Amino acid sequence: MLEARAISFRFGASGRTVLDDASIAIAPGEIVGLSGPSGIGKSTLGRILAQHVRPDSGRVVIDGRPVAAGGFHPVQFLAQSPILAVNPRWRVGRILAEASPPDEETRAALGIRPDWDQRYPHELSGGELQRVAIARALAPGLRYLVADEISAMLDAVTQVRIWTFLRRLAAERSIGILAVSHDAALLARICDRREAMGSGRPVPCAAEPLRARAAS
Amino acid sequence: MTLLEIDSLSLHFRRYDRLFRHVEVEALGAISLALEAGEVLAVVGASGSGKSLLAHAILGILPKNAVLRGSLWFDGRPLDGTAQAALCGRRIGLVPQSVSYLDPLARNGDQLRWAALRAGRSQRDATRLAQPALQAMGLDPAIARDFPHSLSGGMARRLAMAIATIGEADLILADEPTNGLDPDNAARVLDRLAGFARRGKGVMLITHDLVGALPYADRVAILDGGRLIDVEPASAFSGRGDGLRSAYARALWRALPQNDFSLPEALHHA
Repeated sequence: MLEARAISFRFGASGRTVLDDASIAIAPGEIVGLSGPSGIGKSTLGRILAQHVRPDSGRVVIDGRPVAAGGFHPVQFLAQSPILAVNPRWRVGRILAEASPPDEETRAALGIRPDWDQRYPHELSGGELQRVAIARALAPGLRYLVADEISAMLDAVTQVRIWTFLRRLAAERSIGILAVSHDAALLARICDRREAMGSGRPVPCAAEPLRARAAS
Repeated sequence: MTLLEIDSLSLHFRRYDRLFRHVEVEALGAISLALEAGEVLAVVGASGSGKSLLAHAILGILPKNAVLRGSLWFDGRPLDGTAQAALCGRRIGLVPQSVSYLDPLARNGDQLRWAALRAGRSQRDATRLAQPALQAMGLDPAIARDFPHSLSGGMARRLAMAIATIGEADLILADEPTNGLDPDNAARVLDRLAGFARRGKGVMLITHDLVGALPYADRVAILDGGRLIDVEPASAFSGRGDGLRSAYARALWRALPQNDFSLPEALHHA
């Protein structure tokens, strides 16, 4: 179980309080949706879970224990814009192998073609590079993923492809996933349960009825 | 009346491969598309599909290493470099993707008046037009005295729309006008854009959000990887999408989480 306990966070010493006594828990193999208006702290909570950002107070623990420093972090963060999360001067092959080279099965499942290895990140499309970023995160030590709006800028076909893969990953390898998105219809499709950010902390929320505006 | 005609337009970027050898990388391939006065044409595609480049090609604001082939026609005349310089900001208005296109050091009202002056209005007209232009976008005229940083994302987007249209543009290019807006503000912006079309102007709505654009669009052009896949009537995106002609458009429609959230077998490993 990945837990954030009583997290508080503000930007700068006198800045706006973004998180106030926020707690969230993600069980192995569970996909938890996190929604809320922009600027409310969804991504910040995700970054704190992956320990990219240190909270002002509160703790992040896995199975009750803090994560040991150094090495591959068992919580990996996937960003909306993968181009900002890769070294622009590395070729894709080197990026993929950064933690541990993905096996052929993973590459095939994500549709990562061998000829991409020689390319630079900007020579792939957004959807292609997002699949590379996912493959990079899937090293053997992975236990939890924070997926921050990973398909918001992608077309619906690519979105289905990525989430079909991630749902299978959650089920087969018991990887817990926090899916951050403002797309209620997407969260209703992929999540086991949902939380919504409101005034500094996530609270459980009921599923909303889903219906395409155009189709209704 | 055909306002804008795009005739087998292709766009390449010239890039140095080695020291003196250059290669051309295709960004847009042979796109033909017409936009009628009075319609909202949605141009839908994922990031990297080339939809912003299409708008920039129409406006003539591509980077220097861009190689453009094919032709553009506006209101029956060739839209070349000279015509672009004469028409953009006047008969062709751009609602930019990012609110950072607003000048942070200039008051909102001044930016609006400058746009009117650029469009050939007199000083007096520009001042006279500013207030109704803000009101038409549902903005409080008092914000004219403020600076852009005090506007919310939705207000800034509506100010950008007022700037783009104060010169009475006939063609409005809106590049991701709802990006980062909550559903209420997005609806307000799209409703204003559709209003321009109802008054006889042509609107090109560039967006990655197919579902959000459908209630406002007349036709939908689908771009993927720099190619125009198909142009479909917006009304065909309903039910199971059986009215859609292209297989890709049908796959895109059915893949939406509001619909099937699944792919046809042929696309699974493409």
